[in-house]
Amino acid sequence: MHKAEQLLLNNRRAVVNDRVFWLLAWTAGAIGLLLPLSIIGYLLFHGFQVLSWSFISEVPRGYPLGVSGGILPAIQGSLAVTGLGLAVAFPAALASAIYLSEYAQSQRFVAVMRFFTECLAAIPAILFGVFGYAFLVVQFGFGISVLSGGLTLAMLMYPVILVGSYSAFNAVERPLKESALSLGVSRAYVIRRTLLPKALPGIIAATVLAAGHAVGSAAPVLFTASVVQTRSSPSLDSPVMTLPTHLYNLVSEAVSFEHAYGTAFVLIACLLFANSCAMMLRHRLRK
Amino acid sequence: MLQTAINLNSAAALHPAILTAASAPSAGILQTQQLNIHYGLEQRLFDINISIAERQVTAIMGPSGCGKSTLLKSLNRTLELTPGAEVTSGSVYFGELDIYQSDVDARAVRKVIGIIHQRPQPFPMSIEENVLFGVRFHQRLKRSQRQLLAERYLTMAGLWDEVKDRLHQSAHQLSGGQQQRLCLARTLANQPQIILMDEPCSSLDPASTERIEQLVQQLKNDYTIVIVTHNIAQSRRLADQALLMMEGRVIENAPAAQLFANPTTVAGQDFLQGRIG
Repeated sequence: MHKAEQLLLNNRRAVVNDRVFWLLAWTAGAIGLLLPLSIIGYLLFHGFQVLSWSFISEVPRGYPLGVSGGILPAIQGSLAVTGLGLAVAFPAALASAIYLSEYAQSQRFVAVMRFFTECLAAIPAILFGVFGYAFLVVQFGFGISVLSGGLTLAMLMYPVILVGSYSAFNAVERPLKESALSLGVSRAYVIRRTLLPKALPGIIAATVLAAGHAVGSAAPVLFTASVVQTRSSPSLDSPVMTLPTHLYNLVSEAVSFEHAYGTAFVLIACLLFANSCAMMLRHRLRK
Repeated sequence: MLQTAINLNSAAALHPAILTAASAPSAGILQTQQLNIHYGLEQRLFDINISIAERQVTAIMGPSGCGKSTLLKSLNRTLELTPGAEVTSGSVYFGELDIYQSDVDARAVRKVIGIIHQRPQPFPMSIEENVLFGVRFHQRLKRSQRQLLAERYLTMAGLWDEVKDRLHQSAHQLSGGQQQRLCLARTLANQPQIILMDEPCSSLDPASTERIEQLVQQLKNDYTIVIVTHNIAQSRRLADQALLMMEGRVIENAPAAQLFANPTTVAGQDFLQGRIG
């Protein structure tokens, strides 16, 4: 056989290499898919008996508290602290991101700010909890309350939303900004009418990520907002129950594992719901 | 009625000198004097002295990297949007006003001297909103005025018939040539006196290019046009006055017919005969 013809034959090593990579890629993909699915399946399987309308619409009952009844106050409490945290963190983080990507003149200042923000994002949640307790609960006298918990969660969410939004603004092509500014309009007008719509999908993704992280963390609210039991609906100056701390109590005090699984499932379902809403919103914005 | 409302808000209101500048009959409506430009430490333009005649098409030609876009952008203060780029000495006169003078509002300059970029950049909004993007910043528009204005400028840019049924759809669905005419429409909507064009056809197919060239021929009756191109045939078709640049300097500057017939420099002859560029 001529040399030229030999070149056309299958290269055994290349074929084997291809197979190996195909297998690795599929395994990695399958793990990413199976892990969340099996967690949800597991929680559903074990918490299935307690899941019902009354589980999410009634207060916890029984002794020790939580063996029967529902988790309504915990859902309300979680929504209250996360909502307050978001209301504080989102505008602050968005404004910081706009400043850093569009107004800051010194690249060194931006680099330093980014470094500190990323450090802030890497601080363990429990440290935010302790800091919130020392400063907000004790020093400022806010007490264990929705206000203290919400502000602590805001600190947790701020860097995540900031970093995500900053990247989203930076990803907008420079020629687009330049074209817009060439029409003799102000920077603020360009940001409001072209950059913000372009960056919005990225901003939403970062916000949902941050909020999901916040609603599921027990550590930041453990010392700042949560108690084992409340009956009244949440108000700024009173403590609340939250989903992750309720879950923690049910498990650590061995109150009821079924209710714990049920609570965990509700928590995950909330996150899935929030994520799906964000995905649909992003899809609509892209059109 | 509509016309007066718009004029009140034009650049003259932002700097009183612009009004006299625009009406002063001088050698050229736009002139540079010993203009030097640096990118960081590197000098890109050297002692540029040119004069742009009113209501004519001036073509700036030259090989890639010769500084023709830099020169063009310095004429309406959009160069400073590029990080690092800086006019280090010299002036650009619009009439008798130096646009780099400290009390001149760069935004007003950009409104009176519009620019079309190489790649069309439609904004993420409807076709109508794209046309009115600049106008809506510079003045309040009643709802009833919007479509009127959009129609006027889309017609001037030769795009109205193609988009009149989908004014409220996204501008991203237009073809490249249509997008470039949309960019022209939104620049025209700002009511400029001068239109700068930075290789406006370089990303377009021949048919779209021809369309843009026709528009340039029509627009020169009312506007002063400066067009950067590396396409010699295009400047032959369009230009009244032509400049040739090499390595940051203007080496030829003459009425187009004269320049194409008798380039005075060796580099100019080489460029026009396609030996360099």
